[in-house]
Amino acid sequence: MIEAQGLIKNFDRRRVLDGVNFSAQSGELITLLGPNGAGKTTLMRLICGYLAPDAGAVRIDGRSYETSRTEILRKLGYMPENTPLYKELTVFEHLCLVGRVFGLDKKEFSATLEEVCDGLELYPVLGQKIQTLSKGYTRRTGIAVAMIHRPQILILDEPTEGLDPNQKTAVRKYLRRCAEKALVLISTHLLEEAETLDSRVLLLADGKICTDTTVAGLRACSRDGTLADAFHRLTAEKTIAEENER
Amino acid sequence: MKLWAVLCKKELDGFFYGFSAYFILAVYWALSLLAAVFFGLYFVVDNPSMRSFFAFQPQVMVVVLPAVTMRLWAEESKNGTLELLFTFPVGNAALVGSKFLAGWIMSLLMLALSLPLAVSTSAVVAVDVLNIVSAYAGAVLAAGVLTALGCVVSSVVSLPAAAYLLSVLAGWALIGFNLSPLLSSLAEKLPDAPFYLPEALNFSSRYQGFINGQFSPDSVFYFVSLTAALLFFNWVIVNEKRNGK
Repeated sequence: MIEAQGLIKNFDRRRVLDGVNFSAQSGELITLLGPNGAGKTTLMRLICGYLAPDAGAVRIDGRSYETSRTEILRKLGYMPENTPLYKELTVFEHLCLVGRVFGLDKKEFSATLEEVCDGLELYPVLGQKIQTLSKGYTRRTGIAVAMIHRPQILILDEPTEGLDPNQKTAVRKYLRRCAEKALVLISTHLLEEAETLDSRVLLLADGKICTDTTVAGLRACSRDGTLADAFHRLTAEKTIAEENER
Repeated sequence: MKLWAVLCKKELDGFFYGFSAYFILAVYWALSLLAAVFFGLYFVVDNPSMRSFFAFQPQVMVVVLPAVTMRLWAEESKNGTLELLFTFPVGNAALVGSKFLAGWIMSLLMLALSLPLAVSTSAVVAVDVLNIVSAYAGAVLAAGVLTALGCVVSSVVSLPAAAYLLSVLAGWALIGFNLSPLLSSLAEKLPDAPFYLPEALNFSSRYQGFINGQFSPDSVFYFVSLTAALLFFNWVIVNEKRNGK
């Protein structure tokens, strides 16, 4: 479904992604894990076509953005970093707007609206302007906006950032449910996220995927059985070792 | 077409959220009246064709329309919603066209505010209706060009305030574009050269023609093609941005 081959992206002279390769299929739940500045957001932006790679290619269902942008974007649901939304609209108006852009008819829209509002507990704020929402509700509205057209591929950049523990649990539960029908790719720097979701983990450090494994596989890389140690070994220590080699 | 309407409505909703649209309309109306009364001497000279009002419309639009167009792209860029917009399954033509349409509708609303003035003028003097219709057509076409110009600037600059200032400057440059003095001196030296071409590109003289009641197809073509060229340029910029360049 998603195929990333040799992705390279530079900003000015700094290499942010350095030959990223991975593929993912429908029904997978993938956590893109990595320290701040590892290139998670850039990779997500490349996958959803907001940025173009300097080298390499992204193919979605065998198609590239150069030739089939609109067709690909129709299959994608994307929540960018910091959840940018049209703040002058109410939650309902925003969802309506996205529904119309994706060409949903009234029946389809009503069905997904109910599903999304149930799953993300958005009913209390449906008529409220986004500008007046709390951080948690704004984030959940962003997820709802990405999901309202039932995308085949859902890409969420730090979806639980700023949520309280109860909200995090509810969102994670909902994401697991979504992954039964779609490919869900989320980015985070929180280890507990990958652990709770029990997902496939792509660990990104210094613009490279250093591990493509499961949570159990990641834990096996640690010295003391904790994910934190595995994370440290694979990101910080590896980087230091590589620098020493150089 | 349905998609264009959805996106255009989104822009218009954005304008009318809060007071910004009403404020812009009020400023436009105040400036138009001030220009007509103080510079055009609206109540001193006879105005059967509302010349005093229409004569200063390009100048007023150059100052007011950028307040509308700066929102279209630059504010999306500033708020980060451009990332959301660019990942919608919408072609570049629909994005550019719907934003332009929203801006143009706003300028039509501005012009519509002058209709009561036209009605009240007709109650006082015998108005030349065809001339007024021609002047309105000129103003609508000029608004299209200035809206498209604002869209281009707004898509290049990511700060709304900078987009406003640059659009005003670009607008002044466009309406003040007049090579006549230079051309006449050149024409003396090179009498056979085709110097009619740059003069034909003069925005103000074309607009003046409409105020004089000369509703000529070549002037309509001039304004429409200039708007289309600017929108195409806007499309190129959006395409480049969307390809992550």
